[in-house]
Amino acid sequence: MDPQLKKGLLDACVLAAIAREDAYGYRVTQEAVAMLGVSESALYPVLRRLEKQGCFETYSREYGGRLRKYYRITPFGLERLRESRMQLKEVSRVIDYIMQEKGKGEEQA
Amino acid sequence: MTQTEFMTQLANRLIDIPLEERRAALDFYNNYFQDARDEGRSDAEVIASLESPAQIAARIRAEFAFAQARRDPANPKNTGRVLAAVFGILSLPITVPAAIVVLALGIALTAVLLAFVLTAVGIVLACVGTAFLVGLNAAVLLVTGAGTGAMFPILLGMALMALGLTVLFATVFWLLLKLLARVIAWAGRGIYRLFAGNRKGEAK
Repeated sequence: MDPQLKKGLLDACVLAAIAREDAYGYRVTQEAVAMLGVSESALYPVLRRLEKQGCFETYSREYGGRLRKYYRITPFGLERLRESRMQLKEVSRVIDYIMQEKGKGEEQA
Repeated sequence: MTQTEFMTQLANRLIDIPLEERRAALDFYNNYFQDARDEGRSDAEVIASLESPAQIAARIRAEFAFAQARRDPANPKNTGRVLAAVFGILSLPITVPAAIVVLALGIALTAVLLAFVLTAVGIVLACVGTAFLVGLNAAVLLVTGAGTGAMFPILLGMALMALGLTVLFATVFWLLLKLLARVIAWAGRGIYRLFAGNRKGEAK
């Protein structure tokens, strides 16, 4: 996938993952890597930026004798996700158009 | 490289960002290693799938610079941080042509900022100098008693005018510098977002 396209989708993917359920850094990272194929270290800056912008709040829960930091989506984060979804809906119309329309050359091949 | 070595290198490269930011990043990666271990991945595997500590640090510092510039966009110090982030792209895995473009743009932005500051400082210093020398002349005339002639009020007027120009230029240049700092920070952030893409990730 084009790196620019990927970058645009990364924020939305992270928001969507955390909106579904509270998650810790490693989990969010693995999901985004599986979905978008970005480098694992691309996730921390995104998480930190969205956290600072107020999209998530964090809390710690004990796990295996240590404290694990969980991200929980805020109303502001949900609003951002809603905006992303609306934009992507428009994009998906375009994608449908590109995918369905068969060119002359393609039919012969 | 072990987890400890990795974390030490990362910490060393984050030494100049505030403690809170550094701690957040180090906590994240410490937990990252532990969570990966719980899922049966070895430290070596995790390290292989992450970027180098230098590259991770470059990304963290860039995001910190943008956050600061966002909070206080007219502060030239934050613009300096953003410019450092632009040059930091060179440590990330990008293609050679992209690196050349980034280097050129980074140098151009730095040069614009530097040229403006030097010019502004030069003009303001010239005004201060003029005010001082002409004022000194007027004072000498006054002390020697020659100041009763026509020269004293003229010199005094000139000195005051130069002083006024100093204040005027200094104010205007300061406002322009804040505007320029904002524009350059904005451009720097754009360059980073455009070029700090991840070739390694793309190849996966």
